[in-house]
Amino acid sequence: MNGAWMAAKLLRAAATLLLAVTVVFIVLRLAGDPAEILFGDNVGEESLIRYRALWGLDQPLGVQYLLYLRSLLLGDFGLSSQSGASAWQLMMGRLPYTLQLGGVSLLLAVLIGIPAGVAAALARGSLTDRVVMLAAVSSFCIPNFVLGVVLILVFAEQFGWLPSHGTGGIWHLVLPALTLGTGWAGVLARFARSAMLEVLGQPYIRGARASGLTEGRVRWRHALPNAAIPLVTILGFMVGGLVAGAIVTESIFAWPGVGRLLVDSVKLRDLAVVQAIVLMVAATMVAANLVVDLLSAWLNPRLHAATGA
Amino acid sequence: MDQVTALAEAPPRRARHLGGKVLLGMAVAWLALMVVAALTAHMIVPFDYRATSLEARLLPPIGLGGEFPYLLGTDHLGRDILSRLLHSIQLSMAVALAGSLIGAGFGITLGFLAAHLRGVADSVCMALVDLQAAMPFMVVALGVLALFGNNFLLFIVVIGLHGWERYARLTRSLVLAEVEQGYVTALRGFRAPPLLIYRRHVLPNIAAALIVNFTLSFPEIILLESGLSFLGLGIQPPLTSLGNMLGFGRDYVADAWWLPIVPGVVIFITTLAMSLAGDALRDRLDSSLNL
Repeated sequence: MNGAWMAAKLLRAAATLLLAVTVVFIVLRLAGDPAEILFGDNVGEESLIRYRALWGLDQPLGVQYLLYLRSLLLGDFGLSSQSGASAWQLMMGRLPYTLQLGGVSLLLAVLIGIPAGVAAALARGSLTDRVVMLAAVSSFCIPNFVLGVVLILVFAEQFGWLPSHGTGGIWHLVLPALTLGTGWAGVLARFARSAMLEVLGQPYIRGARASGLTEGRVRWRHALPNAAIPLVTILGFMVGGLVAGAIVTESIFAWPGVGRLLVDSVKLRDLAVVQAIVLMVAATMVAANLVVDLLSAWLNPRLHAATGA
Repeated sequence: MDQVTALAEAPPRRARHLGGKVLLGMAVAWLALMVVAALTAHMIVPFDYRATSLEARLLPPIGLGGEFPYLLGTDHLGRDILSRLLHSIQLSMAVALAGSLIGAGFGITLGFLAAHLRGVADSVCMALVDLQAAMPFMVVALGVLALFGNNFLLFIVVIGLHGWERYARLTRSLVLAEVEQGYVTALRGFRAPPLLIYRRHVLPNIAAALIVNFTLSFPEIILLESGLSFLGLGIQPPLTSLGNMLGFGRDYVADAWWLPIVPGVVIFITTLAMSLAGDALRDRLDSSLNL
């Protein structure tokens, strides 16, 4: 991994982020005069002019754009039109909940999905393989909003074992984490299976076997670490997409995370908060892409050497 | 999770592993049933889907204590669930189809433009494609809905924005490869106008790959529509869609579980069937397409 390659990657990530910010700025300005959107017809022309001056909206568009960039860099995403609080602080207040839910779900997905996928690959064509794969396809075909409602019906309403909404203790986490984690587990299982199968077909595995290593050593010491490389990529994207992935689940279970804040803000048309979350998601995705790129180049130097970039 | 599922699609798989032809046959039969339901819903519904009846509220489906005219029971306003379900299938399918066509039209046009103009226009197009591909679409859709409010036409446009980037990228790369072919050089030699070459000659040659992409994105669009409607940000009453039924049914899960379960099961089986059928279709077409 040489410096120039890393610099190019970083530059590209920064450019993508700038493009995202620019698109948001253009779309926001296309939607109309922010002062009028905020105040409607309730205030006089004088107040509008005063606010335009206050927010720099009377400046040329280019200057506005630079002012916009500057305020974002300073962490100023505007004030919520509903509560008047800082959009940034509102979002940051909800983030721990999303990270908690997402972290547990991801852990669940890794602990179920990867062993299941590896087991399916090692017993290719067997009943285990078929059952695991059918379960995997079913689990990512069942949308979160269906699974969540079914889980509430069974475990909260019928048996009354688990709470159906809100936060409180570890029990409140179980149903939302199952809802969110199941689909990811299915994706991971399919990925783990195909990655493992591909590695097991490589000549160096045959070489390892031919040199008299035990099957266990071949599988766990030689095959699995190589199969893990594509899994790191997919996990990186899952972490990056955590907020977006949790939107529906958080809404079903009244989990007070960023996803629910986004849905509520969209309903109330609280643009400052929506903008803050959209930009945060964009930044997270760009960062996740970058980390995945760097990580897979580090784990698999051949990849990077082959592209020659 | 768009990127995640797209990546998960990448490794070659075989429908045979998943229980084989019987399962595939069932999937195709279910999809055929859905198409028939969507096409004929307004003719075959037993009741007006908006008709309420105070005496017949929250009736369970037949076989679970329900009464005859209401095969799948009734909801909290005494509306017939079967009739609402059929109308929901119709509207969900129609919205998904309209959205797919908008996305395909926009993406394919942009792909042709990028391949034709090259240079700066190409770079800008591809940067936008990368940006859209990096953003979870649900977040983009919610942002647009927050900005412009919700109405039926805007909702279809939002749904239509889904997946344009994949059409654009695919079209661009296919067109760039295609214009190197002898027949395009020959047509240029005859001084055929570019638009004619693209529309009459290049487009038919790349259509198969675009159709495969269409079948892949259709179930995603159905889920997007259902998800947004479930959140209360999509199809609004008095219209009804699968996600909308599920969303309202959720509030009655304690007293009338069939309210959310009926549309939920339809959504689940439909996406599962599309996934199985899509796999089989791609396995068959992939070898010839070399995608």
